Amino acid sequence: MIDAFYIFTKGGLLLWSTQLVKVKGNPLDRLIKEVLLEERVGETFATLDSYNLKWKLLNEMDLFFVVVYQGILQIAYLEGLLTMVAKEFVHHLGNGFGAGMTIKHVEFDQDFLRCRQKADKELKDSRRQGGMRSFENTKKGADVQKNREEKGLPAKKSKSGADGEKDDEDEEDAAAKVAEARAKPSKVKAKDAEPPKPKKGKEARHWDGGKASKSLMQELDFSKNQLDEADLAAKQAEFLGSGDEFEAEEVASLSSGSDEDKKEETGRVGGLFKSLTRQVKNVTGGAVLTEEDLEPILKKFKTELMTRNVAAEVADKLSDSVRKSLVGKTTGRFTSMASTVKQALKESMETLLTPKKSIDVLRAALAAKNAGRVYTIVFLGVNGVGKSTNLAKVAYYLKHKGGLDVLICACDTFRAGAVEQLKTHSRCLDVPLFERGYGKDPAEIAKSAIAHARSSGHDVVLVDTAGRMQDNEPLMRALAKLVAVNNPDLVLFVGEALVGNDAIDQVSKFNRSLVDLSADPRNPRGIDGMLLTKYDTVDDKVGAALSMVYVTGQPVVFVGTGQKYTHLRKMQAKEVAGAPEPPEIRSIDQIEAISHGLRRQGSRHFLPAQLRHGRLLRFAKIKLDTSNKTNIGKSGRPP
Amino acid sequence: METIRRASGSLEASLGLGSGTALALTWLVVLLSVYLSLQLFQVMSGSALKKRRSRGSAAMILGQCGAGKTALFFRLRDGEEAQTVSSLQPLRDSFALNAPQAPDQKLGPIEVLDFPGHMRMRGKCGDLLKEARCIIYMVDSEDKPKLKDVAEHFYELLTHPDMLELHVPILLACNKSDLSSARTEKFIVEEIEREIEQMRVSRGATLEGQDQAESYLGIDGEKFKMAEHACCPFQTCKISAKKNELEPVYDFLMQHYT
Repeated sequence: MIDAFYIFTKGGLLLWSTQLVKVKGNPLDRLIKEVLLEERVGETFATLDSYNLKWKLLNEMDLFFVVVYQGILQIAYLEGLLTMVAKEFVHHLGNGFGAGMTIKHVEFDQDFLRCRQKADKELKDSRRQGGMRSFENTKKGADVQKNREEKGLPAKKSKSGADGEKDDEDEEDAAAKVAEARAKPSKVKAKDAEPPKPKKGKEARHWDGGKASKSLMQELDFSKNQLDEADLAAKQAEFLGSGDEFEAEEVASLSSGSDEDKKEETGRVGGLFKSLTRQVKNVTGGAVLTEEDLEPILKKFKTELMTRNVAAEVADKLSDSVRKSLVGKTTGRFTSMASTVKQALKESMETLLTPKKSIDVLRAALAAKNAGRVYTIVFLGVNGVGKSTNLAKVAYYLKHKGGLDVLICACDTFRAGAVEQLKTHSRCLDVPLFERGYGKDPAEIAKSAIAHARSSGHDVVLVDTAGRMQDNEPLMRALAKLVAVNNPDLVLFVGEALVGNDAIDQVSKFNRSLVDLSADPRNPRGIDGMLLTKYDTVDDKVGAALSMVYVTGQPVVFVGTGQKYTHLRKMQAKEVAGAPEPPEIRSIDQIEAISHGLRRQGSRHFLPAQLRHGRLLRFAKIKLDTSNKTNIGKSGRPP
Repeated sequence: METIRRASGSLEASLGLGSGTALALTWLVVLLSVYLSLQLFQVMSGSALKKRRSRGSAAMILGQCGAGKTALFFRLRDGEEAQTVSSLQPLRDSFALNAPQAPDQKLGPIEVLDFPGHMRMRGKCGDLLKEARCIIYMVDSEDKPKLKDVAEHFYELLTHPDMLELHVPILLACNKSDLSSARTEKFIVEEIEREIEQMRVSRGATLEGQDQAESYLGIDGEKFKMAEHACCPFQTCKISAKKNELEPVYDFLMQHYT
């Protein structure tokens, strides 16, 4: 069932581990690098290398507990085991743990075995009980029983009361009749109310050739199985009750109510004191963070993230991850909880946006040139995000900064004017263009372009593809074919910095199409990096970048910041993760770009961050007004 | 208190104000002057600190994932071999060192800082550079492809503003030298130098409008030599954390902590 179990510190010391079955590969290392370091601690389990991994984080001690298993296991069982082992392990370490790393080698085998046996036993028990819980075990059953016990006393009293009046007896008789008439339901109820009895196991019934002996018949006749008098009285008292009793009960409930009130009050006083201390600690620091403390703060930050154009799903997961990594931590001196959370969130955003691999395209291209290879970059993305424009920018960068011989390949054989657009760029940049007109298979064109580059000594081929929506399957298939056939060095997804929730849909679907339809299923090829365009038009720089990076795990290689060839930058993780920058709007073009983005995306992909920004829209309005006026003044006719 | 009351009395007399107003006014003046003097003190001390900025006190262990940083950390501290996994956060502790070659010489408590090697964490190590007195840079002698990343990290380190100011000495420790497929120190250093040379073409060509132009390493048109062109003292050595062959590291630490 369980393959392995690991206990390690955040500092990287493996305190204890056991492999019950030999584990192939290194799923633990992958877990750390691909899940825990990617701010995905908030997730509950991962599947890596055909193993399933589930983990628990003890923040107080910076300890991770990881269980590796194959196949399907009950989550409750695994959680139980993890909690049990964590408890046992902390107990085992005792106070010697200190700074969190004084233990060299821990003898924990015995304890682990015990934990496992206990967990297994619990699992078995729960399986045995698997079907239905007995009534006594349910909450209602407990209530009924409690009621019965409470009422048991007065009921007996009323019976033993020496009066023995006739009215009472009459009542009893009548009640008995009613009870008889409703024998069955009352019986059921009676059974319910009975104290827990060891159940008599079901016995096999003998059918002796269809004939039943008299004794057997009697045995089987349950209808005569009547309740005796005493029982009946008890039942009656229970189900009918007398007036006195009701009063008594009411009084009791009232008094108990006031009792509860009292308790609540004391609780409130205690709570007030507690919250006061918490408040003080919130200011002075040194408070241990709990789920309840973090919940409202994180909610606030989550909304802030969403208003900063981070996709809702990503904001959710990120705040989950931050929560998991903070619960149990102690806040520093004179830091409030809010600032602690803010710092943690900022740091995790920064970590996410820090590329985990080299994004130096120029260096990679130079290395390829030295090795005598042609370096190929494919640009892909949805329509109108600026693929061709930014391809031209990259061409300029590689040509002028790296001194490389660039070839542009026009594989947009679909949209009218696409090739002409590239032709203009190629003339401006003085970079050759490889084109085969419209309507041809883009994969073939790219292939011949690379062959041409190899024969004529070009160093870099930049392949422009047709824009397509992520849901258009035939087009995605064609794109996957292009990537599979040509195996480019870099697959760049071009996306707008303007998108919010749609960003993750776009990038994840592009990535999945490439992976699903790749030529070699064992070694799937996805997106290698992102190029964010129209970056200058958003004031909340972090939104789309964070969403896309979180979904793909790939870095943002470039950001496009304007209309000129030189307007290409590298993203600085630190800046972006920090406070939102004040809006900078330099030209009417930028506003047009925004409004274009809005129009194109339609109402489905509403852009709250852009629309909310009154300043931007006000600016746009003023600008448009003035431009209209000048138009009127010049031409002398209304626009 | 008495002085304040007297001052407020004199104020009351001279300006003809009510006693309450005068007292409040006096308090206000006193508090304001205290606040201003505090501010002044802060500014003064800040500028003074800036002038006399010196290196920190920690021995920093840097390197790529799997180079053996955490293993070295525990070797230095406990003298034992530790089972490690990829670190998720920095490890820091102060302890006395016992050099095996000179058992009588004890190295006072040193703060050792083991920083995770994962690329995602790398950005944060720049913030800690000012706390470092020396850097032990661990390299996996067996892993040639990783040297690209090492070179990139070196480029970032050597052009870091704190590094340029503080000249924190670096020891390039080629770990895992006990393995048969381990490369030599010379090979590793040359490989790094070659990579940096390639990189300075691309790094030197900063994109337009980049906020911080990264400085150019070495001298243009000349081959990049680590020992000559780095902004800090640079040494190399061959160690094995597994086999406990750590004499060069102890020597290096001796050098900087005595």
